[in-house]
Amino acid sequence: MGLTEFDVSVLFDPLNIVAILVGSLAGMFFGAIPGVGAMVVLVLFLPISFLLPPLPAVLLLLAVYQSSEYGGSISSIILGIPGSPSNVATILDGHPMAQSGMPGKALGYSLWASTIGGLVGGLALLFLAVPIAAFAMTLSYPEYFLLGMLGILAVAVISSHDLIRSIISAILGLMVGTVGMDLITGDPRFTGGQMELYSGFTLVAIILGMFAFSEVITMIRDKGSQPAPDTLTVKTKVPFAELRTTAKATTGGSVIGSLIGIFPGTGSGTASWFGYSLAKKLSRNPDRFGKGSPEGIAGAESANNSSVGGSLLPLLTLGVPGSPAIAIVMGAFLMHGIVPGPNIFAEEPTLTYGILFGFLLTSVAMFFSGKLVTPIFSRVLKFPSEMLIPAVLLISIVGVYAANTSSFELWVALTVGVIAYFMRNLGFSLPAFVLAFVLSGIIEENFRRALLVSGGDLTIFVTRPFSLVLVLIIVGLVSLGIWGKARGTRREKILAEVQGTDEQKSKA
Amino acid sequence: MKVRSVELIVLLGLAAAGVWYLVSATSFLEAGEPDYYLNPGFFPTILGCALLLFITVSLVQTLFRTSNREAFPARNTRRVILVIGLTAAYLLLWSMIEPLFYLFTVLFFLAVSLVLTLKRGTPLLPAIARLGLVAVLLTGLVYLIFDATFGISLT
Amino acid sequence: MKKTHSRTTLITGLLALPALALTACGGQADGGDAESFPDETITFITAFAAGGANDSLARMLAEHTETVAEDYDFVIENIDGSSGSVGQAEGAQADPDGHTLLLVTPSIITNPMFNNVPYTHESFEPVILINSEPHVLLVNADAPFDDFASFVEHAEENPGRVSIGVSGAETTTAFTSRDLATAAGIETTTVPHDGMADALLQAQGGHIDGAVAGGLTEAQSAIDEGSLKPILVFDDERLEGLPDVPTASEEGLDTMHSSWRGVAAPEGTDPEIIELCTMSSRRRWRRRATRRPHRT
Repeated sequence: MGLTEFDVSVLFDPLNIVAILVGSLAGMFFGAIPGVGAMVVLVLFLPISFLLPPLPAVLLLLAVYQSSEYGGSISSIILGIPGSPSNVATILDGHPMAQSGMPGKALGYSLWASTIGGLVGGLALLFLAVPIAAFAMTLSYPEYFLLGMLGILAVAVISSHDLIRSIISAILGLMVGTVGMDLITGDPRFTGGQMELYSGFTLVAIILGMFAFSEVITMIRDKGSQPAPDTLTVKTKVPFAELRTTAKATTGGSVIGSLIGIFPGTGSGTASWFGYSLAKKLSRNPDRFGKGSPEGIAGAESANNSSVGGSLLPLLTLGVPGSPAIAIVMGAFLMHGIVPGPNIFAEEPTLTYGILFGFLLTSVAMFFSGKLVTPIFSRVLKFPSEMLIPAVLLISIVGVYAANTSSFELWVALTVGVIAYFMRNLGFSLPAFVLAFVLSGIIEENFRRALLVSGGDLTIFVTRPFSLVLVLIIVGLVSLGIWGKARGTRREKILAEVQGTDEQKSKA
Repeated sequence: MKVRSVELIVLLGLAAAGVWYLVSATSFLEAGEPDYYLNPGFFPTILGCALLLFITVSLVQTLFRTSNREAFPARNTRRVILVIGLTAAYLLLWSMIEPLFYLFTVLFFLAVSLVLTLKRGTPLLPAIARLGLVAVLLTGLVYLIFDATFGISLT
Repeated sequence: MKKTHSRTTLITGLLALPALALTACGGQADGGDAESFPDETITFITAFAAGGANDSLARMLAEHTETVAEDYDFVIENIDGSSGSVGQAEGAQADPDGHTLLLVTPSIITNPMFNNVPYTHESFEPVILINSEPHVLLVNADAPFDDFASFVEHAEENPGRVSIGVSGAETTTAFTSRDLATAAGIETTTVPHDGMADALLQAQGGHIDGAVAGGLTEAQSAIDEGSLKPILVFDDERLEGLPDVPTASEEGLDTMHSSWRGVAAPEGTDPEIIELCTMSSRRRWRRRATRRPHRT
């Protein structure tokens, strides 16, 4: 059975539709809680999916995954606290826009971009599954290493005005990522003998510490000097004319997100940064980025949702889960006695094409549940700060604990939060730190594996075609960056002297 | 405190951490594998050196910059310190007497919100009643979401 | 729809679980404090992150047990960290009253060997072995060797240039790969990955020459597709699913390795409870396995 012969009416079985709707609403609602990422919600729904037939079971989980990626952007925008690493890039523009009194609109941009991204990712999955899977097979250690480097480069260059301190932040992130057992040799590193640290710092503790705790400190500091909550508009409606200005950003983000999604492990976090940088490159108003540009939101959010489709690809075509969240979806396949892999298209055509088409439906369901759920969340900012601050603090603490039921991580998060507060006020880049931390293992291990296989021969990075392309892109970006900086410094100096005092105030 | 002083303290603190990291990394180098790419200290050594290099550059920039002579933004400092202290106390109590988690949570919420509300002369009782109610409601919500729905026991 | 061998194995394995859990919590325990057992919620520790294969097994187990036997209440506790050592330490130190059980893998033996942890594999009483699969050596279909003999020959001609992917640095598949090199007197490069799927993918793409899989189940789809070729089973009996693939003992190698999962209780748990659990879970297992629903 081929793509065109699939009987679409199978999808509109009431059970399938209910599964998709329930999944979307729940994914969005829980995904919006800081610390509760796609993983936790998926685990919650896994036992429920066992009770359903295979197709609705998988669709339920995919709907959860898809809309919790959007749900994570809700807390990024409203509170400046990312729901997951894939929503960090959304903070840069979403949070300023919300603070300037338009939280509803910011969420509206995010919802549109997420939906379109999800659809593009789904279409890529539908039509390009086979060729992309063949391409993915040609990628190996050198390519993974270089893609990781490229990801860090993208975020370091754009996320702070102080390039040197962005680079320092990225290096620190890589360093913190090396704590724990060395995956190549098994030696414990930098653990100080703490057993909890053998597997390294956990992502949830680092992210919530960095963003939630330091954001809480900032909120307390600025208490009394923020705009009155009454002036907030919570409507998520975005006029079509305004939406059109983000078309380029959304398209770019969707395409690049689908591409990045096929690299197992790098996932939606990297994708959102590539989407964001691409949007900035394509934009006519790159100066507005970081101050509440709708294009920034659109680029990042379309990319992370389209990568969901991409990450399904290696699962369906090769039997390899592209992200930890997809690994849970794979669990649902196995539970029903279906082994994902190259033969799944031939052996289970109704199921496979049902999933591919159903995936498109999950994006649509996400849009409508987003319309329903989002206004509730954008009202959060209307709470008086003496209630909002302890509530955010409390939910973040419980979120960190719930991820691993470990109180050790709470202390890590608290300590990281205090350090991060000073760093973010001094021009260091928290996003660069977090992405570097996420990619640290991928970068180090694949670099060493590449050399292990080549017997220590460094030419492995330039003798493989795609690897060479990545090397050239990196070299090109770095030299462009240095050239641009050298040219821009003089102009910046003059500007800085003129507005020096103003800038200090607005930074604070 | 001036921005520049804070910058210098943070950069020097990071440099100190970097030196510790580098020393640990080189100890792996000496003890570990002969092939550099197999050695667990290889990648960390590169990172440590890179960090110290860029910190040096940033320190020089900091010293010559003119825009950082102002005061580091520090308002509500006492409140910030109080809230961090309360959080630490809450975490400590929770890890010591787990079964009382929900009680501590109500108290923690109440205490933090009072720290943020109270000024000299505000009547205490109405504030406690109002915020206490919110505290109980929120704690109930935490129970509903995490314990009842996700099955994650917090006690 | 027809079922492949691997699916059946998997389902049988999964279905065995509820039975185990049921008896592990002492369905008909007697004697001493076993009389009233279980009188509280049973904590079932999974020393791995929520969502992984091990966690899914544990959750399935709890789910089914609660439906089959209403008296029993399970709490799954995911204590992730340090390749399972944090959760395993917790399990070893729990009260040995049968109310705390642990899902165990070979890592309870390897973790104490390589890390400074407060327990050894002897801190646990085995309750039951859930499944055990021998490791399999697979090579890329386009590799310049078709069978084990030519593999060894190639490795002898190119010392250190034959790369074998394994699931991690100190995992059982890594030991198998090194053990094979020693036993066959060849020099190979063992390449650790972040999980088996990753290692298999690299072998399928031909970026490494082969991989040691922790069982036939996880390699089945790559074998079916034809991109990987099994050339050796690390056991003394041929596998039902791979009748043409020689075993290590046929090749004259003393390297037998397998991956397994099981349930364990802390050391000092009443042997009577454990005995009962083991006995009746076997009975349950057979009965349930024959009633396997055929869901397609």
